[in-house]
Amino acid sequence: MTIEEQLQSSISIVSSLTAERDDLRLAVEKLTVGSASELEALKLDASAKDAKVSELAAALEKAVAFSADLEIKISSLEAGKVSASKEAAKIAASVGVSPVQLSPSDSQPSAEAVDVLATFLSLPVGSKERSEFYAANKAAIVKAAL
Amino acid sequence: MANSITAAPAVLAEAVLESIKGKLPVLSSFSSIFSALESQAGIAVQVPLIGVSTATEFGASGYATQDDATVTAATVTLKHFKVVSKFTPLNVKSYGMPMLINSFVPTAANAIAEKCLAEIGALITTANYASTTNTGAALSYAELVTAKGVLDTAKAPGPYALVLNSTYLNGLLSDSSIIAAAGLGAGVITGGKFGTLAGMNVNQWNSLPTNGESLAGFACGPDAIACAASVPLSEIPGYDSAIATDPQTGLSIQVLMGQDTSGFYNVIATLLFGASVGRATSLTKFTTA
Repeated sequence: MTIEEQLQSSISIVSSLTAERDDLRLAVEKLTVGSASELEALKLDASAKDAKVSELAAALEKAVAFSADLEIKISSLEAGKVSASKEAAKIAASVGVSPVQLSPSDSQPSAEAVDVLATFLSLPVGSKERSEFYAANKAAIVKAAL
Repeated sequence: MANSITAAPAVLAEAVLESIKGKLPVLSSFSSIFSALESQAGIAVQVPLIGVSTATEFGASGYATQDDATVTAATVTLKHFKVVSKFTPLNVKSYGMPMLINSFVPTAANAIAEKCLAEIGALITTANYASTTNTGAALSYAELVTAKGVLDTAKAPGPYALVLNSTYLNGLLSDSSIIAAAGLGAGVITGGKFGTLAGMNVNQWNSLPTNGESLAGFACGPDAIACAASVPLSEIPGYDSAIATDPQTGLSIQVLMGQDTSGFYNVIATLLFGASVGRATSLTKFTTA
């Protein structure tokens, strides 16, 4: 190989290496920029999640407070219900009526009440036993009768 | 809730009877025949009067000689009284027997008691019982003792009953001679009840009619008034019925229950009742004028 040929070969190798170096630099620059933007996006995402967590924590706190309020209100209403029942019983008693418990949510008579009714009905009409049995078991008889 | 109303009339009848007994204690002061036998309006019932009998020595006439009072029985004609209440099927289904007990029972008991008392009250007239004292605006203890004397003289049997309207009775509650009486005053003041006064069982009758004669009360023996009660024959197709009878007096109430063509549940309390004049001299009246 002549000296010219060697020079020519070296020049082409240098050019090739230069091009390869430029490609690599470009690739590195691209990677650097991509990572930065990705990191930025992750930071934004984390920040949004933090905000959401804070928001949910506040909402939960509010719900707990509301629940406590409701419990207080329920207790107050329950107490009021008892008073109203007592008041109704008093009014009924004042007109000569023996008040009978009325609970729509508990309308199914117990098996015991049904038995009591059957016993009452089996006693002879006009007998002292029937009259006394009714007086002693009025609540159960009334509950099972209809 | 049970699936049928079959048992309901029996329970309602017992409840109405229990309530009505408390409203008619005065009935125990009269001669009466209360029966649970089915009868009908217009039937005449012979009510034996509680009389004063004198035992005599058994002699030649054996048991043929009558020893009791002149008037031994009074004829009472029964009338048919009823109270009908209507309930929607929804109310019956939703609230059941407690609703009927709390709404129908007191209404029916009160209405029937008032009707029975009205039958008796209408008898207390001068035409039926001549003895009358004008006791003015207020009745005094001394006037009660005088009334007892009238019954004693007439040989009315005991126990005597004193029946007063609320004005007279409340007046007696503040009578100083009654309040001051040892052993009686405290009960009168705390309970507002006399029990017995001058030997007579005291009854308050708020709806005692004046009968156009300013009637305010009366004192009587049990033979003065005769009462009879029974129950009608229940003849409503498809209706359930039941009778309750007071074991002590025999007073009976019938309750019928069924659905009519309009869809409503009819609940009916009914009885037959009548009253008649017994021995005319065994009652003395108090009038305000």
